[in-house]
Amino acid sequence: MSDVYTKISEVLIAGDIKEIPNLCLQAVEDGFSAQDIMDKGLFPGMDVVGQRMKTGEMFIPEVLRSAKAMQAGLGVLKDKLTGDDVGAGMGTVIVGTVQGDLHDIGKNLVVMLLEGAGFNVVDLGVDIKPEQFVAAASEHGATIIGISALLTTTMPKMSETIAALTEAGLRDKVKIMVGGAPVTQTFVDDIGADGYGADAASAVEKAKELAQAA
Amino acid sequence: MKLKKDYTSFKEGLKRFETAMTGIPDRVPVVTQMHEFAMKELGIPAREFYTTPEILAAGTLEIQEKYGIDVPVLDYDVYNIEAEALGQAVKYSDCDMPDVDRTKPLIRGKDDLKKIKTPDFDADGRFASVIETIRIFRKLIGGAQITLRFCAPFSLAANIRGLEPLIMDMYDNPDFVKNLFDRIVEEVLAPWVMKLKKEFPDVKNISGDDAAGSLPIVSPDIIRDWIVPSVLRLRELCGPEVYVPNWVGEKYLKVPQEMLDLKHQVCSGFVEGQDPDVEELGPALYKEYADKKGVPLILGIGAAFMALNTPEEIADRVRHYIEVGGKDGRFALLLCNLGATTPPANVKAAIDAVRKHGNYS
Repeated sequence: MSDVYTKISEVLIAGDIKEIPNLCLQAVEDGFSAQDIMDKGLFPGMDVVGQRMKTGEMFIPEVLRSAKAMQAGLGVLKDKLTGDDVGAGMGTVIVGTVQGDLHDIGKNLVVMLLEGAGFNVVDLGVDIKPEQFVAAASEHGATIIGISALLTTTMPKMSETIAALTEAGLRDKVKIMVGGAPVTQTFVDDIGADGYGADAASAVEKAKELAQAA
Repeated sequence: MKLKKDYTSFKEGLKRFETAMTGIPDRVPVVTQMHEFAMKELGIPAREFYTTPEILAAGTLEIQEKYGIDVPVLDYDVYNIEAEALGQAVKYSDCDMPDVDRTKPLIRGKDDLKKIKTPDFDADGRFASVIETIRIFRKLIGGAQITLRFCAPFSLAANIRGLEPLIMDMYDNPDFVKNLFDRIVEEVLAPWVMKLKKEFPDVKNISGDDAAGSLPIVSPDIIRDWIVPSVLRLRELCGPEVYVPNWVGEKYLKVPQEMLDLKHQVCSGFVEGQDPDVEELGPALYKEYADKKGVPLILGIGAAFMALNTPEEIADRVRHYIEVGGKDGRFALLLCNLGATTPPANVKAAIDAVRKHGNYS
């Protein structure tokens, strides 16, 4: 791998938000394609960040810095792409925190990591009603819906959202992921979701798996 | 539900708890955080439950007594009180406890820091309501000891600035964060804690709630560099009865004891471990650590576990934690944050299991 890609990965892993855009632009000026810079520099860097999060070597603050660095890199590379749309390749994911729950840092992190993995992400925000998930899924042609909840008291809203998607005839057209501190595999099975990740990095891995299986 | 005027029956449970903190009681005491559970059991809308001192105080005691909880714990939406009084938007509903509206942070930049000033504890937010609730609660239990509560510096900072911006500020603008923490501690929390001490001069424990100061939400470096110093500064200003016990996340570290060491700096009177840390690491690690430090141990069964598992699974976990953690006394069992969705049968199973497996005599 080129030293340029390696350097971009390293700087991204270090979470240097200011330096990444400069490096990406310099690489483009030096003749590297924007797509290659993403595929061989930014995305592999985020893979390392995800792995380190899973092994306890990095925590949310460091992951957040790297994710924002990646966003900064993608931001300057978007204009340099020719004919492709950043993130179009993996499909569209609708993400939101359930009705009655105002927590968002876990969701936001998943959003950033999904974007870094090449998904087009529509972030609905917090306190999202089941019918808002349904409307967004229809409007954006989502392939995956990610539902977040931090509180045990708001977790039942996840199954209500799945019921609403079923009622709207969308259940067979989308994969449903749920996430949040209290969520377990048993809960996922009970409510009939398709998967979850114990942390943001695992959630993205699961999303990739579901997207490839779709 | 008709609320009583007297809950002095709790004195026996309190005595059990106090004995357990220093030696061997007749049986392991049970402590719970259960305001949402109590609200649901009483069938009172959240908006009314959290804003009516008589209902919050007597209702909590009624449900604790109904289930045979040993220690009367006065719990409520502790994280909102200081933030709301400063002007932070808080959402109320009839179904869920009030919560900070994280889409509308009070502190959006440096100029907003001036909003952080010492509140009028008689007029701003729900401070007066909290004091009244404590007063009623203590009267109902015959003036017995309780733990007073406040929102710890980091969680308050996160609630008024936003967790994500706060974390970014720590890297990009540490002077701003220092100013934010200084104001929170010196202008808001220290005066509030001193007000509580003045109102309730005999109370021996003043506990800061700080769930946001947990791994992996923050890193060990942030705990060490920012969070611990802010708590120690508050303690310096207010006295040694101030502590912060509820960070979790030692399971994320290769050496979990490093997190316990950080916790010990701000809560040196006992060791507290909660699920899912205890579930993953096992209760023996906590028992060994508490013994090494020469302090009592409190092990908490997690809110999610209590809400989502079967009574049999809960009873089994209670037995396991008591067998390991309760050996030779100096141990209490905590049922963490029982929610509105926690099945009553699960709470009953936990208490029954304590009575079955927790006897020392």
